[in-house]
Amino acid sequence: MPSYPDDYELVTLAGAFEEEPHTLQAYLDRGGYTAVAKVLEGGMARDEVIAEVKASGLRGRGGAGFPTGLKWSFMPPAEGGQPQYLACNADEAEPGTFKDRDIMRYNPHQLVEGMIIGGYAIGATVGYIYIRGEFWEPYVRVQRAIDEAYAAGYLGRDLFDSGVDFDLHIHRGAGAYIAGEETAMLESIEGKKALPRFKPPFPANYGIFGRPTTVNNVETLASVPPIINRGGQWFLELGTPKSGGTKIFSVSGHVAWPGNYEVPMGTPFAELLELAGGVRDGNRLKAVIPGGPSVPMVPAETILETRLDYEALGEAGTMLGAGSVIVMDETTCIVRAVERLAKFFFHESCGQCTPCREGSGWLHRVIHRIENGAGRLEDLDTLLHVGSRIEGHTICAFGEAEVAPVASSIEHFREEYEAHIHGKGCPMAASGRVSRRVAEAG
Amino acid sequence: MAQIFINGEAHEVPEGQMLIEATDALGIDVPRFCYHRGLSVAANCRMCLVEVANRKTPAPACATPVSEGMEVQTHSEGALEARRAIMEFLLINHPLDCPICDQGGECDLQDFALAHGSGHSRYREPKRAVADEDLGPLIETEMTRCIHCTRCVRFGEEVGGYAELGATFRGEEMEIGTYVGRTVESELSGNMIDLCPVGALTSKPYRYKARVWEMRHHPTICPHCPVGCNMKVEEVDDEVKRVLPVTNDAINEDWICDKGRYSYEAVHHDRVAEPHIKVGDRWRAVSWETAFNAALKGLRSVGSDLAAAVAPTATVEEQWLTQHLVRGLGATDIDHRLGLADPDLDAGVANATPLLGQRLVDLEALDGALVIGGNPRKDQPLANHRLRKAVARGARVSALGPVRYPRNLDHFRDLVHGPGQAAPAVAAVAKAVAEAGGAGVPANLQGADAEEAGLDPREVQELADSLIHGRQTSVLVGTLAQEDPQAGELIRLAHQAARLAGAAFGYLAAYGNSVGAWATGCVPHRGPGGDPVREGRPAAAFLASDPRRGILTLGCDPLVEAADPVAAQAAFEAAELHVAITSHWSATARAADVVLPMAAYPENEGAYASGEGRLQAFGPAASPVGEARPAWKILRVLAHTLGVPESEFVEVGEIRERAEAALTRAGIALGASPPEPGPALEAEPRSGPGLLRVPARHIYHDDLFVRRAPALQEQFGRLTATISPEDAAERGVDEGDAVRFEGPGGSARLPVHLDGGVPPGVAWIPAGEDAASLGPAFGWVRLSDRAAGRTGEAVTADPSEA
Ligand code: SF4
Ligand code: SF4
Ligand code: FES
Repeated sequence: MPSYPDDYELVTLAGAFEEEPHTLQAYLDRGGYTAVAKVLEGGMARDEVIAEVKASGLRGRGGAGFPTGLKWSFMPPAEGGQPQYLACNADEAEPGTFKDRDIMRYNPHQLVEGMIIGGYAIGATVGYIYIRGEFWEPYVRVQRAIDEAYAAGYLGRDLFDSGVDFDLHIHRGAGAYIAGEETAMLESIEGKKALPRFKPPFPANYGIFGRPTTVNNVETLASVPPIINRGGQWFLELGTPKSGGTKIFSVSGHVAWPGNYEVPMGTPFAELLELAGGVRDGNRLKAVIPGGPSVPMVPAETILETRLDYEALGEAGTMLGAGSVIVMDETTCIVRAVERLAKFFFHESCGQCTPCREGSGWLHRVIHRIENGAGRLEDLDTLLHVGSRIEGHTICAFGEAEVAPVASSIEHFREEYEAHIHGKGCPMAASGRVSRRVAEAG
Repeated sequence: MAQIFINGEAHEVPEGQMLIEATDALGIDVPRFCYHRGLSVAANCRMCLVEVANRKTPAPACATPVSEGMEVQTHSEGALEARRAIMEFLLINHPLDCPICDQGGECDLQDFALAHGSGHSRYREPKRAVADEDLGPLIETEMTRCIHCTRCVRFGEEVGGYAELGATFRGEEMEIGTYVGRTVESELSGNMIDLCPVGALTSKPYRYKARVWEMRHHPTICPHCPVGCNMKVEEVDDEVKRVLPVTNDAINEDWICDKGRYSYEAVHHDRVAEPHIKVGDRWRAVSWETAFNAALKGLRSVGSDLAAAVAPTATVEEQWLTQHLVRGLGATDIDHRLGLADPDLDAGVANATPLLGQRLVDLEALDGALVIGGNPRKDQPLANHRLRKAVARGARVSALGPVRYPRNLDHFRDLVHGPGQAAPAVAAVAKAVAEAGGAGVPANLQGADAEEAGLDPREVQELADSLIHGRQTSVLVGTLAQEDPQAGELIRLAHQAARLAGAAFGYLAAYGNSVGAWATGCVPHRGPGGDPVREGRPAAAFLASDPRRGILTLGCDPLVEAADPVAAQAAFEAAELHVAITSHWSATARAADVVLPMAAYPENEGAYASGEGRLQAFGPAASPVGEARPAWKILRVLAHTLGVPESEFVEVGEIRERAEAALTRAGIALGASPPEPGPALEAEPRSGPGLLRVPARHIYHDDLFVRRAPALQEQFGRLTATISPEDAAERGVDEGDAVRFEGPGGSARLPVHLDGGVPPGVAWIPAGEDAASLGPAFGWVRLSDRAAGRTGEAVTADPSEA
């Protein structure tokens, strides 16, 4: 098993190594619900809460990395009688991402507490947790946590005699990846098909049922109680000046011990790899997708020199995303891996806007053809050109996402594509070296 | 206002407008598929991408609000390149079957491909194909051509009032359809064809009938309802091919209803193409000369013992000329209100010219309204659309009538009164208004009682409040109420309620030229412009117990349309002479002695006066079929030959001058209020044995012309009797059973539909061909004893055996 240093303190995965860590009692034993008490009983003003979160350097953990405190400050002041909403995005459907699932399994009350505080800060009296439909255990545990919190008076009317109300509901998704796009999620919560909305207007002005709404990721919200308890400065100093706090990395692929690792922002990739037991079977590292398939992949040489934070990964030509680190060793056929990802995006495009609906199928079909030995050299330029006409032309960021694996793989591994084209097929499959696991997944 | 720069030029545009609205207003071309000014913004096609300074990516003009100082390039290389890319994407899965596509020549995809696309495609992969759906007799589908703009979907939700089409599946597999294989039934469905930018949705009746570039367009006015939608008839070589809306923001905006769109098919069906005379029991086609001689001989012989029934869909010229002829011969009985069941209306309400009392656009600005005894959704679809828009803005629109119609807008209160309680129910509303107003309850309303009228007093009170407290409210008398046996009473009470509430008063007229018919003197007690005349009797009398020796019918079919078709039959049988001037064969034409074939509306010229008081003229789009002639020419010959003075008209314009003068004298002007109907009396209920019949007509079975339009008749299906589930259970009748109904005039076997919107004690049996044998439209019917117990008989039973 991998191990953290002895004095290492988990922030959002706190309790993960305890027995029954998800119960209210276990959470209280860990000091739970003291942050919300500090806010509501202690009379912290909304602005003070937001200031603390701003000071922490906390940025959205769902993928976009938008500063959380700033996002909260966009919410208009609540008008009498009309609801505003806080929506927690627990749709976690990005391939290779499974961090929110563990927070919900092991530490659901911290999420609930974070939502109460967040709701107070933005003037929302109702919260929704939108849980990916395939997640059963996390749903059961979060629902149990909500029930316990109601029973204990942490949810409902007049919390801590402060006059503040907060109700929390779970909405389960039905399996569409795009429902994780924040405005598609709002549509789905409204009972409609999950189609991303065109922005502006942004959710802070026009969210659920047209009311001001803030959408935050599970990990983001679960980070809030410790920030309130120990101060924004403490959290900030856990990480780097521009990327505060810790971050859970879901490490998957060709490592010895795949799993979730919560480490400080700015941890060198090499250290994370070591924590995950290194590349399996002593194989050589070939490429890594550090933030889930919707961010560009980077070759081994680059990622081994890179720290895991927003800025460093940006400089390396990729993104932190949701922290879904997909590790590919030397047995991986890049073309086959990308074909698989292109198929995923083809399957998951919502279909409303033209470039994505039509382009995702185009990309997939061409790569499929190349992988299967019918590629032409000009296909590579077509892929890049088509990709550039999808990116920036769509309603939502799915357009950029579907292009990222294609464009980055051609950039870094063009010769592999060319080998497929010249050899009329997959050279690795022919040599029997292709990773079985990747082949099965395809 | 904001100053923005488009292609380097400064423009002042309204702040907050979308960029595409600004460029449209300025005449700057920005292509689009999904944007339509009448629908919400979807921003999904991305065809309208433009470059905006300081933005990394191109912006959709349809969803980008203008802001001060914004710099926009609509035709820069970046914008053009973005659109080229979109065109390429749209075409990769498009079948490119333009040579066999009806949209060819008016296809946005085709046009933009030419303007913005590149000549070849890099796409070498397999294409998508999509199975078609049968949406019914009006809309043809070819869903492989669909570009997923969702205009049709948004139209259903936002204008049609309910979602009939939707998008199922995801990504490239997204399909537009009905979910469950239903047909599309909205009375506005044809507009989706116009909206569809490609050939995915096309007109079924028009399929493969013509190519757009070979057609000639003729502006026209819809004759069917008082909205008076602006349309165009398209024709090739004198053959009418289709009808499309013409945008008029003051009237129909960009839409027309399916009745207006598809009724043109009647031009080719069941026409009377030659003059006919009846010799013994047999029809003989004859020359005009022979037919005229027969008609003239008959008319001379009956002299002033003559009555005339005129269609409310005839032009003002035809109407004016008919009364000119009839009165010129010394006769007095003339009417266009064939369905009016109140013989005393004219005594009680001297002038019931059915003006809307406001402009159509004013309906949109109402914040409260009450429609009494009518179903504007089907009777005046595009007036209803204005009410829907008002509701979307928060207006409280209510309805009161004998049944609750299937609606497409959310009513504030949708009240159904007890059988026969129409007048007492309106009195109860008027009383509630008076009480809420605090100025005392007028004597005639003292006895009014909501509960006795079958209403919930609390709801009546809320309705009354909504009329009083609005800034701008209206009370509108619907089509059914205007024909009720107690129409006079109803109208006066409705007016009283309006006055007490400080609301505008108006009518939702039945037909495209009902207003014109009143104003030109096609009523027995008023001459053109309301001039005094020797008073005659209404249709309710001369088409019933007290016939004349001679009857002239113009463009109408009283044997179906009269308030009592059985009594009308007897009147025709008793008459010595019946001259029918008609475009189509009908029961009435077949009962005539002389049939003179007239031009149908697309072949005609003239003008109609709409409900809001607008006189709209139109010209012919095609020559009349066969020997048919415009009715004004036929009437002119008759009048002139019979020696009626001042009948030497050469041009239709000379008649229009007289008709127009009459309209002016009658006070017909845009937005004009209808005349005061006189003081209201105490309301009396009606009662009788069995179920009270409500004869509200079906939209596609309303006038002779539409009854001869095949696709609309297929959509109509057949006439159905709707009764309450309670009455059905009591009598052991099930949905779809064919049941024999017995009315005062006879019986009819009709398929039954059960609907909770019909209260117990009521049978909604629309006036129409299959129901004519029952006698009085507002009569009382019984389910025949033979129908008691489940019949299980097929619904296809032959109506003619009834
Ligand atoms: S980019 Fe793709 S996923 Fe996003 S709205 Fe457009 S079609 Fe849907
Ligand atoms: S059927 Fe026509 S209108 Fe409807 S989505 Fe497809 S292209 Fe658009
Ligand atoms: S017209 Fe703007 S995106 Fe379709």
